[in-house]
Formats: sequence, structure tokens, C-alpha cells
Amino acid sequence: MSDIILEVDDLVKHFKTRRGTVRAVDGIDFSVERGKTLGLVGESGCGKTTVGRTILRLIEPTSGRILFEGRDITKLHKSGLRSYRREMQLIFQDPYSSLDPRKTVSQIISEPIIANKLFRSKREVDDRVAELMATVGLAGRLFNSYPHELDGGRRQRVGIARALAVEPKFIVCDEPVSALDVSIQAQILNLLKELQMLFGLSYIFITHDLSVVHHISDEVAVMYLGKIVEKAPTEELFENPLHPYTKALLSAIPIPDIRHKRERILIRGEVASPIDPPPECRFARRCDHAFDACKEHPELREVSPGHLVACHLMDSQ
Amino acid sequence: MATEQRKYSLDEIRAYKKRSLAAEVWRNYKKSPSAMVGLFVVLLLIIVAIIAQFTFDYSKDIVQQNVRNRLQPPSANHPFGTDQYGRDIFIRVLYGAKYSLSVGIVSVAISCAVGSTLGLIAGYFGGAVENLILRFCEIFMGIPSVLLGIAIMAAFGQSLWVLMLATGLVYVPMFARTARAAVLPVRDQEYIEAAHVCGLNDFQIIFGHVLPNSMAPIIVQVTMGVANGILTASHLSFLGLGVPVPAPEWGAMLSSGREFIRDYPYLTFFPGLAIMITVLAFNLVGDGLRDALDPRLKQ
Repeated sequence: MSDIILEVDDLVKHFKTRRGTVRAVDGIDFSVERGKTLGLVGESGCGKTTVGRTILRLIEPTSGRILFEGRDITKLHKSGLRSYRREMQLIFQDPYSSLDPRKTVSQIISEPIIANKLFRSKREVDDRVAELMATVGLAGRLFNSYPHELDGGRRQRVGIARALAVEPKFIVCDEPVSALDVSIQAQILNLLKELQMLFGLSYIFITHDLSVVHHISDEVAVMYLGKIVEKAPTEELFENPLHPYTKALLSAIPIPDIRHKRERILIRGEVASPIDPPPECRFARRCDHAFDACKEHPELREVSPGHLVACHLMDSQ
Repeated sequence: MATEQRKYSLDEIRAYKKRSLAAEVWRNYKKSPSAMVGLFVVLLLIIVAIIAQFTFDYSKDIVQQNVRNRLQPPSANHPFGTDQYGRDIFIRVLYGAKYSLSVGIVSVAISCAVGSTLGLIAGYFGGAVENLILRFCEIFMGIPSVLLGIAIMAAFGQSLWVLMLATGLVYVPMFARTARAAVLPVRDQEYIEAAHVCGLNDFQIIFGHVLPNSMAPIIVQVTMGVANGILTASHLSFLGLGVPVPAPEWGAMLSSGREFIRDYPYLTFFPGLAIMITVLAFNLVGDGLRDALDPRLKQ
């Protein structure tokens, strides 16, 4: 059997609001193998960021289990949570708001080292920071710079160095490149891949950008309104998408070829509100293939090895 | 951007010296002429207050009456004239700087320490704690500040220290509200979340990240608070509740000169001018600091 580092089991996160319950994450299951990357794709508001935050316990889940190396981390208390966060880190979407503008690069990177008492003397801490900066490709002369003096790519490298400081085994990357220029995106993605090989990291890679996910993921889960609608190894998903939503998404990837005539599948309407949704298939109202069975929510089922789809069309075939 | 993979040694890194935040703020502060004028006046006042303390003899120069010299207009001998007891107003105004400055500074230290801590806690934790602190502040703010000051003075007696305490307590709610308002936008920043992930506890986050980033309005409030404190202390002294009578507190001087304002306006004019200049100078410093403290303005 493969080595599972993280297993998420029926994770639910509901937010109570005045207008009703927002089902941001509504019962999702997935697992990540050690040293691999799971891409979590979906449009804005589908709950993918909530999933990432919940795994780190920055948001308390409503129900469900999160097993990290076999331990259920939803039950951890303060000290346990602290040691857990030494193994699991987060890279943020916005490198402008995720770095404290009043701290220098070295202060930012050394923060987790000092908070977790990994090194005690100033000299050792500085040395470790210099090492981390070299690892993520930051010039040493930036040691005492402030974040506002750096460009987006360098800022994101600072964020990555901070995440690596505690030598985590697992990193949640929450849209780490979507705020960057395309040319810098590739650099950061390659850096993340290098680091994965170097340290044997496992990633959850949250993004709405399908070409990014193609580049970095081993497996992809597509989310729609708090549910996973399709999950498959990356190549399989891109070659053989089965869920109507996935098909539509993939048809929207721009292909740089002027003669390429593609059939763009347009999705009708807008995303339904995640506040108290009806018990039908979440995608049914926008789906061209919807039929009677779609009044009931489809379960995620394996249609071929490793390829899971939640769609009633799969039953009729 | 070329990726550098070489690790710099500590000595190499030391070569890139860290510019301290204070130096950075000073560099920006210098750019504003009005702020520099304010700072100059504040420093001058402090120096005057200290020197006056040593050069004048309290019993002889400040409070001794000399009725033959009473109510003299400004002249070379008495630049600001003399009051109804023949005391030199110029010397009394100089000597009085110490009361106003110490009341202003100590009272703000009290209200800033208590108020900002309450505001930080309210803003950071939110929920019931925030509600409790804010409602408490509103109750306090509902009482007119002079009335509250009078109540405190009445309860604890009349002395310089009680005046400082009374003035300080009056401004606690203002600091609490300023601090809370400054914390709110900071609390939702991603670097606070990042600090949680890094394993910092609430105390470290509040004082390491939240406070430095919400400092600018608090510092401005401090300098404005000194000005307000001086005014409130003057109010109380004017009402005869501040520093006991013969002492040349500016507010008390205004009060005692009030009866003569029609014929001898310089009795009230000069202490009033002193209060105005002091308050203005602190406000200018506050404005300058607010601009200098914004890291986004750095070049």
C-alpha cells in the first residue's frame, strides 16, 4: 500500500450566518501520499481555501476527521497543536499581506525558529536564516530588507522560507502563485517542485488555475460548492474528464494555437448560493445533462482505478 | 530574477547593515518643516522647564508678593508685566511649564498604558470581551471629562499627582477606542494567521505583530493626548481644582487673572498663549509622527 501522510474523512465546515447556514465544505474525503501533491481546484467560493485552513486548524471543522500520520488532529489541544504545526505549514496566496510590513526578512524567517525554540543563540538563528534564504534563492543582501522593498516573487520566497524554517513534512499551498506575474509564477512553481524533491515534502496545492495544477500536481480534486465532484491522477483527469463541470473547466484552458478550433463548453447561469442548498446535485441547475436522478445528490464513486466521479451520468452509462 | 543558491556567511550578511526603524522614522520625520518646528518648541519647553526649576527660587521669585509692583504693563524689567500681587508673569509662565508638561506627559502615560492595553485586548479577542470593554468605555465617555476630573479630585484631594491621575483616567476610553479601531484591520491580515501557524502564542502575536502595526494612530493619540491633558489640567486648575493656588500653573494663572481681563489683559494673555503654543507644538509633532510612521511612505 502507498504511504498516506494525510487523510481527510468526511470533513464538514458550516458557517452560521444570519441568512442561514453556509455549507462552505460539505463532507469531503481525500488523502495525500507522502511526497506527492494533491491539487485542489475550483472557482472562487467553492470552499477550497476553507479546506486548507481547516487542515491547519486555523478554522475549526464542524465535523469530520483529519488524520495526519494516523493521528486525528481535530482533537488536538494547545501544546499538541503547536507541535503539529511544526510538521504542517502554510504558504499564503498574497505575499503582500502575509508578511508583517514592520519586520525585516530575517525577522520574518526567524520567527518560527525562535517560537519553536529550534535554535537558541542569535548566531545559530542567523545562520539558519541564511541557509533558508539560500535554499529558496534569496540573495543574502536582502537579510535586513523590509518586505515592501521586495518584488512579489521575492516576497513569496520569504513566505516559503518561513514555512520551511520548522522543517515541515507537509505544506498547504493556498494559491501561492495566483498573485504573481506569469513569468515569476513558473519560477516559484519550479522552486516548490525542487523543494519537494529535496525535502520529501507533501503538498496540497490549492488553485483556480488549471495549467498551474497540471504542472505541479500528481493528483487533482475538483471542488464545486463544498463538494469534491471529481478526483483523479493528473494525466487521467486532463485526458479523460468525466464530470460535466470538469469538462467545462478544461475546455476553458487557453491553448496558444491560432488554428486550434475548440469546442468551448459554456456553463449556464451562476454559482448557486452555498447557503442552505437543496439536496439535489449541486451542479444540476447549470448542467446540460441533468436528468431526473440529479434530484438526489450523487456519491463520489470510483469509475476506473484512482478515478472518482460524483455524477449520475456515470450510472446510466 | 536570477536565482541565487549560494549561502551567505554571517560576516557577509553583517555587511548589509540593518537600518533601525527609529532611524527610518527620523529620516521621514525630518522632511516635514512643521513637524520640526513642533519638535523644536517641545524640546525648548522641556529645556525651559528644567532650567527654570534651578534658576528661580520658588519662594522668592515665584510666589513672593510685591504689592508696590502690582499690575505693571510689559516692560524691559517685566517682559510679560506683573500680576495683581506684583509677581513677574514672565518668570511664572516659564516656571509653570513644568506643571503643564509633567501633567500632560504623566497623564498620557497613564491613559495610554491602560487604554491601549484594553483596546488591544478588545480588538484582538473580540466577542464578549470586546463588548464588555467597549460598553465600559462608553459609560465613562458619557460623563463629561471635566466633571469626571472634578469627581476624582474631590475623592482623592487636591495635589499635582491626583491631577495627573484624574487627567489620565479621563482619557482612558479614548485610547481604548483608538487602539481597538487600529487593531481591527490588522487582526484580519494574513501575517497574523501566519504567526499562528509559526507557533506564536496570543501574547507574542499581540505585542510582536498587532501592536507594532497599529502603533501609528496610538502614537498620534499620545501626542494629541499630551495636548488634551494639558488643556484638561488647565481646565481643572482654572476651576480651582488643580495644583494648589500660589503655584504658577498656567490654568490657575488664567483663572486668577480673569477678574482683571478688561483692564490688564496681559495677565491672562501670556499664560493662555503658553498653553496654546504648547498644545499646538504637540499636535504638530503628532501629525509629523503619523506621517513618518507609515512604512509605505518610505523610499
